[in-house]
Amino acid sequence: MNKEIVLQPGRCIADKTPTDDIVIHSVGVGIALLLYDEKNRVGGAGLFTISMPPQDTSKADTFPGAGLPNLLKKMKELGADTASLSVKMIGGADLHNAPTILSFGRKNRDATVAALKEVGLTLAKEDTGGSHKRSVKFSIGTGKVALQTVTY
Amino acid sequence: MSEKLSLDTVVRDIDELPSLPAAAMKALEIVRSDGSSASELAEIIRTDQGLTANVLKLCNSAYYGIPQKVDSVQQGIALVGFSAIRNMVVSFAVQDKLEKGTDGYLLGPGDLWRSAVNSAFLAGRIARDKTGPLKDIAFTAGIIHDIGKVVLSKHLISFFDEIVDMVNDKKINFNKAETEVIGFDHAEIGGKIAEKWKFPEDLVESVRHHHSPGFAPAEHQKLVSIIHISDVICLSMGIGIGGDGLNYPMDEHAVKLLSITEADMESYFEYVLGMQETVEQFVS
Repeated sequence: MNKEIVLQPGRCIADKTPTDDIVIHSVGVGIALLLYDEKNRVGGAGLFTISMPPQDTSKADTFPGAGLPNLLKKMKELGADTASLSVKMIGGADLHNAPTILSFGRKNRDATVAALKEVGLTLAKEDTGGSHKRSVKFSIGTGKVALQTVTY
Repeated sequence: MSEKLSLDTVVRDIDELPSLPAAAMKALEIVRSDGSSASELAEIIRTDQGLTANVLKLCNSAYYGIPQKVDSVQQGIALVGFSAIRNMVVSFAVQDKLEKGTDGYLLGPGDLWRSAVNSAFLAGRIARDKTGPLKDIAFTAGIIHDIGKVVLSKHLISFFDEIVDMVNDKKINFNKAETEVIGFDHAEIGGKIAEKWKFPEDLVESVRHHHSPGFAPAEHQKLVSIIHISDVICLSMGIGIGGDGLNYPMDEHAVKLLSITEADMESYFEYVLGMQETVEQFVS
């Protein structure tokens, strides 16, 4: 049985233990970004929750523009080749009929796409939008991502 | 289509809910009367060890940010205020009820309590920013706002698919679909529970209208709007989000009434993230 490591909102984790699963219980408007270097079997995950740089600089990982470079640095330290990463993005739900100003999910998605462009990464798969809860399990040994959508 | 649930059935369930702990009942009496003293309140709290520990833990938490250590309830009353401590007593009284799983909403044990604590901290923060005097009652209202889910959960299981279909087909929000399918929503049932427990009117209205603040009596609309905003922000962050997902509206009337800006919203997301260590002290 693999060990489950729960990723909390606003945090980033890099991992190369093949028996670890990074688990996100509940993704709302946040964006779960899952990176995997298949050759070196290094995984990285961030759960970004705000689309603008935080006032508190100690919470940089909440914002994709700062959190993604931090995550890549952590992955490199574990031996990842960050030029050949598979990139998956999950989440970015929004409240029912949210007006544009309150579309935090869409804003988080756009900020994450911009951050990916900034560091030269290309998105491989995306499951974003809607108004439903998502749960994620990311297996470090295989890079496989299991997405559970509740309930719709 | 299923036959609608009878309100009498649910009211019977409400009647069967255990009474609040004695300390909470006495604290509520203090809420309703003006002549009670700090020493009376301290005495009520001292009779309950668990409650005393929770009150001191909250007084010493980042929520209040008091630089000195609070060692006694009396000292807590002096430093955070009579009203704050009184509201803490009422808030912790419902903890055991909110800690149970609410399967009907696909929430596990502890999920609703975690959501309540997060909402309470954020409601207190919004109230402090936008209204000042409401911060103590906002904390309690944040705790109890979803109490209706505790009672409605077991009935919801048999109606859930129908509600979800209605959400998808008619593109309406979850509580509206609850009302169409069952005849009432968790907010209305929560209001009835708050009435049964003889909560003051502002708390009752906060529970009853937390998804529809514009329908609350004018004198309570600011408090209800605070609870509405704190609830949807916590849900948005995935806290307390169950099978109902994010299928609730953000009421623009509430946003306008409290003059909440986009920057405020971002700061509230940040605040909730920053409070997670404190939340853990109350949910583990």
